[in-house]
Amino acid sequence: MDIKLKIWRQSGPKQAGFYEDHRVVADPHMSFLEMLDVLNEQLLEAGKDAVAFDHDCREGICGACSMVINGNPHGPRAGTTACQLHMREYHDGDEIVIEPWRAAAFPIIKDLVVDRSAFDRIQHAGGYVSVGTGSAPDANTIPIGKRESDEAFDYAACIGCGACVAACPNASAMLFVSSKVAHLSLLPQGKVERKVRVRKMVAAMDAEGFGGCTNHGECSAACPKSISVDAIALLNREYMFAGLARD
Amino acid sequence: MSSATPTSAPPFDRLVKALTSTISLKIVMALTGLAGVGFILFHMAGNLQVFLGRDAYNDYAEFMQGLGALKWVARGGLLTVLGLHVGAAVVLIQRNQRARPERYAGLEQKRTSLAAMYMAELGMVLLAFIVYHIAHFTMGVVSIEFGGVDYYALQQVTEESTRRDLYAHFIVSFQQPGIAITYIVANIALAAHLAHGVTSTFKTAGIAVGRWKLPFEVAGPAIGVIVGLGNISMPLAIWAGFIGGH
Ligand code: HEM
Ligand code: SF4
Ligand code: FES
Repeated sequence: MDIKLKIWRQSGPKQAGFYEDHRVVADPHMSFLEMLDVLNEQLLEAGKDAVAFDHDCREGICGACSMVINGNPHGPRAGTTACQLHMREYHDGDEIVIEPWRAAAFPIIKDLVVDRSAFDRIQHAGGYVSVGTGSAPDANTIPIGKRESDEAFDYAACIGCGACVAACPNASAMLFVSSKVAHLSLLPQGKVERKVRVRKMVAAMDAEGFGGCTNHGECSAACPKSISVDAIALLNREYMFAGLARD
Repeated sequence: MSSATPTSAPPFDRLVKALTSTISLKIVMALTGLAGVGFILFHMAGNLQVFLGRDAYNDYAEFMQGLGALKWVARGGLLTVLGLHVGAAVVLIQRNQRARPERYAGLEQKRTSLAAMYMAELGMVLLAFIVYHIAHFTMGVVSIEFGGVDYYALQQVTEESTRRDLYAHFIVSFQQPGIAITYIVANIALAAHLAHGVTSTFKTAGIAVGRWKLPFEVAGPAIGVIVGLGNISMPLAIWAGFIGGH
């Protein structure tokens, strides 16, 4: 299949970017990233600069493969990362526009690669459980209800990819932050630090320059792990109850 | 950019930071928005008495006018609520715009609504309308003189008393297409603002989750439609000559 590509090129963080047209002959069985690999081989053979894009696991678990494909972060398939997208989604002759996540808090490094370390800093602010590290405790020593564990597990599925920020009209990081907060505060191990956690993580989120939530719901529609917007309501509730509690 | 955690800052700075966080401002928007909805429902119920005729409407108007100090407390409260709502909106809108300085070639929207995308623009229409509305009915600045009669100053003379004939002012106002259209357009904007806003409020407040989400998702558009139709029914009925006659 013959695919027309329109790809954002930007040689560095401060350089001006532009869209560049390319053609690629792809196989329907190829993954989307394999199609980009083919393009890069062509570019390198022609002595040109390869398109920089982020990727690691290529199996939908690391969250690295950030790109907006025809206006959809991670492409058109619901609950699917870009690396798990296949060219059979497309038809011969299709034009595909590929651009990076666009958010002030995710500055572009090169082409499609953005710096998502803002998420790491938010996570460092409180997205953990402090423990005295002895040996791992025995399994099932702390009873956790089925509902809580299921819900916590759903929120724990967040891979920190940033598609929620990319999809949000306000470039808000609320779905990411809320899934971390909800996941930890639902479990007994995480309940101890819940007040401090939510205040610190929200403060860190604001300091990074993400926008606010207007309840559009676009984050959840783009999330490759289909995390529900309910997480955001839980975060708001958690934040209100935390009030101005002392650390 | 470093992540300034509230721990290290002095207590007052911590308080300011906590109160101006994105979530706190959203809570301010939600609470003030909800207070506004309460007022709007009350205001609409009062005005719908225009359908009951001149005496009933002027009784209600006289009662409201006679509230004295209480009236000023309510006005002060409403102004504060509006000020907080608009103030928080301005800060949030600025943050949102700064968060996405570069546009996409195209971003597909899957779940949001037109109303949600244009909350700020709708809000600006509402703000302009509120100023116009107060100038029109409360202050009588929007001049409506028909055949040399100043309807704002018109009195209703009954056996017991002489009082302002607000009913006449109301009717004559909406017999003018320009005024009727202004009110109709503003109330369409209000309906849209509330269709998203009311549902959003309950999400912001952390209530609209799980099985409670659907009822609240219906509540916003329902209140929008009720308020919109209720308010528009008045200028429409008068303009069409259904009440007040010509
Ligand atoms: C007639 C008076 C008004 C009422 C009853 C009202 C009501 C509401 C409600 C219930 C919300 C939802 C809050 C939330 O999302 O949690 C809201 C949001 C909003 N309002 Fe108003 N509003 C009014 C006037 C205005 C005005 C004058 C502006 C001026 C710009 C404005 C701007 C906004 C904006 C931008 C939002 C979205 C905030 C966000 O989601 O981040 N509103 N309004
Ligand atoms: S919430 Fe979903 S979209 Fe956002 S970072 Fe986590 S996995 Fe990605
Ligand atoms: S490359 Fe790891 S999720 Fe796509």
